[in-house]
Amino acid sequence: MSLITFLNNPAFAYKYFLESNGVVGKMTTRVDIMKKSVSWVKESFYATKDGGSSAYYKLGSGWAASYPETTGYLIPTLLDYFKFSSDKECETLGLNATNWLLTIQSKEGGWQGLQIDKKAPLRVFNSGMIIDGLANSYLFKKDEKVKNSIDHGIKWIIDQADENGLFTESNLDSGGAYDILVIGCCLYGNQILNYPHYKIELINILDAHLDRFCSNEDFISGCNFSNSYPNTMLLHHIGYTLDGLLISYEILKDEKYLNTVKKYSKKLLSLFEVNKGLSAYIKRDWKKFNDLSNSYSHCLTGYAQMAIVFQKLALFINDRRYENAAFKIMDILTAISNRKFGNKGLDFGLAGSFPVNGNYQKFQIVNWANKYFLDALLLAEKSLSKRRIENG
Amino acid sequence: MLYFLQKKVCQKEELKMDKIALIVNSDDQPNANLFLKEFIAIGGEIDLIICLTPNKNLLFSLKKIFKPLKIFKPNNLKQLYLRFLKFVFGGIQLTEVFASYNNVGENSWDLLPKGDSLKIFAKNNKVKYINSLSIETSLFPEDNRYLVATYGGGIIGKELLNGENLTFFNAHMGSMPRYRGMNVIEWAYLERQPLIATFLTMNDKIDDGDVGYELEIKKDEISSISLLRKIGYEFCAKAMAQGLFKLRNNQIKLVAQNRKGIRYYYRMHPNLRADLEKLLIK
Repeated sequence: MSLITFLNNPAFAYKYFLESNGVVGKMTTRVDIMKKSVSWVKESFYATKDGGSSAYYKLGSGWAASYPETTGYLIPTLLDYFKFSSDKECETLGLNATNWLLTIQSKEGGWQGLQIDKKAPLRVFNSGMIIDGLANSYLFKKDEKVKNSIDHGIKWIIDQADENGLFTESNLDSGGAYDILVIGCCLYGNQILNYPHYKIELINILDAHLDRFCSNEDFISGCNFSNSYPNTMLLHHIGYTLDGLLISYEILKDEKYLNTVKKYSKKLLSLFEVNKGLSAYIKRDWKKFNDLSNSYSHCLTGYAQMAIVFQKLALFINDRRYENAAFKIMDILTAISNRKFGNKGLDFGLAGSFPVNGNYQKFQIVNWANKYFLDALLLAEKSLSKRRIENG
Repeated sequence: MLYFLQKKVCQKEELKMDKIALIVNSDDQPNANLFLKEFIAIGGEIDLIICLTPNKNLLFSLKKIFKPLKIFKPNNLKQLYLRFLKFVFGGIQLTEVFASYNNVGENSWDLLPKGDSLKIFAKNNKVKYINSLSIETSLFPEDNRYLVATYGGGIIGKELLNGENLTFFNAHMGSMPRYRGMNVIEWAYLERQPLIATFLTMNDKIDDGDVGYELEIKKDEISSISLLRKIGYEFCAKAMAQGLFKLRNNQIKLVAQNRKGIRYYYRMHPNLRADLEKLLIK
């Protein structure tokens, strides 16, 4: 980034300066940071005016166009926040996003990759994330049009599986471990449709992915972008993979999915607590990888996803060490995001990396980091109120 | 409840250990004082005390004079710069998030009364007393074998830990191998498990040593985390004293930890501490 780019966006320069010195915002309550984080998400919708959420706010180019994939999975976040806070604006944004996604669904059933202003082929992963959003939208409003769209979408996704049950076609990098989340989302969507043949096919695809990517004791294969650092796992993709397995376990109740999550989460828990953080990229021997000159950056989306995975796991296996770590992760994200810069693209938003010049989504405030952060916070609030009721 | 462990006997048991040493961080360390009182009360004898503080000699006095100049060390200057940034722009350093989980009671000074001077105890009881900034083999007379009650935070090298004539011990607020790591007495209470103080050897891994003795901690009338930890310190002192005494008199054996069921615990987050406080009040 040139000096001129920074001079044109002094708020971003300010953020970069503070973060490169390790200085972040102040701690605050979960309810307060949720409100602030939602305010950034709302701005991402207002920036596009088409019903979708802008993928990111980037140094130099500002707000990007609407991103179908992440708009999809922002729907449950908005609707959950509406249920939590009665913020009507979130309900409206969630339902508008649903309508927008219906209008851009291809006649084949899938959705395009990348942002809406870019020409991109239909993609399995992106479509899977949209299925998740639509399923939640259907459960909220019971709109038959949405149900039909889910059916059409899942059918298209299943049809993309190759003879080995993998998504090597119509996918980024010929697929990866993160596609497990696609299957989790489709299983979730199929709970509405309740088609046994979809369920059987999805289980076969899921098991093929488990064999291909998670059979190794020591690491998850296919867990990074092909053009990124070789032989490393990106925390964001680890998050997708483990969350996909947990969603599948919740629906199918097959212990092998839970055991796989336990296997990798044990390593991540120890790594996080001992090092007081996780590097964005993790080597195959589970050691940190330095993507900055002599240190590592933090992948904030990956952090938020791990806060979700750890909270769910704590509940499933009744081990509160994971919940403990999830709270610490949420504290880190709270401190990082809780700052106003006088720029709507930056105020209270979470970037791809901390510091913001880290390799993953460099100099970008991404809507998916904010989505997962809000999901983690909402999950924590739900668990706490449930526990309060249980304890009288 | 006291109970002995009767499992696999370890090699260390074969050592004929005839001397007892105590390592402390400071001369009036509260938990070390508690241990010493317990140990003496049951008939134990101490042969050597090593205090990990400098000798207050001329060099020490000179260093003290120049102490203010430490501010010009690069690390200290960096800290000063960061403080300035936080003052001007507000906020915290990311590292402070983890630092905020350091709770009252993480060390014995927070909860136990200041102990008596160990130097005076040593003088009155003709016990050898050494000031040293590090733990080294040369501190222990060569022709003796030592059982070392360790209360000092200094780094003990691998060579020393594996040395034939020295066995280092500590007391831990949890049963092994289930409760390794930090805040384990809090975790055990939260998980509604028995509270155990364990007397064990030290090796180069965390909480991995052989177990000599376990003492169950009574849960009655514990109504706060501070009290829980205070009682934890008291029982650890008892476990260390009784364990050392029994070991020296060949009444117990050291047993390797079961490799199954190892769990590491980490510092407890304030949200879980709040749950624990509620549970304790109940």
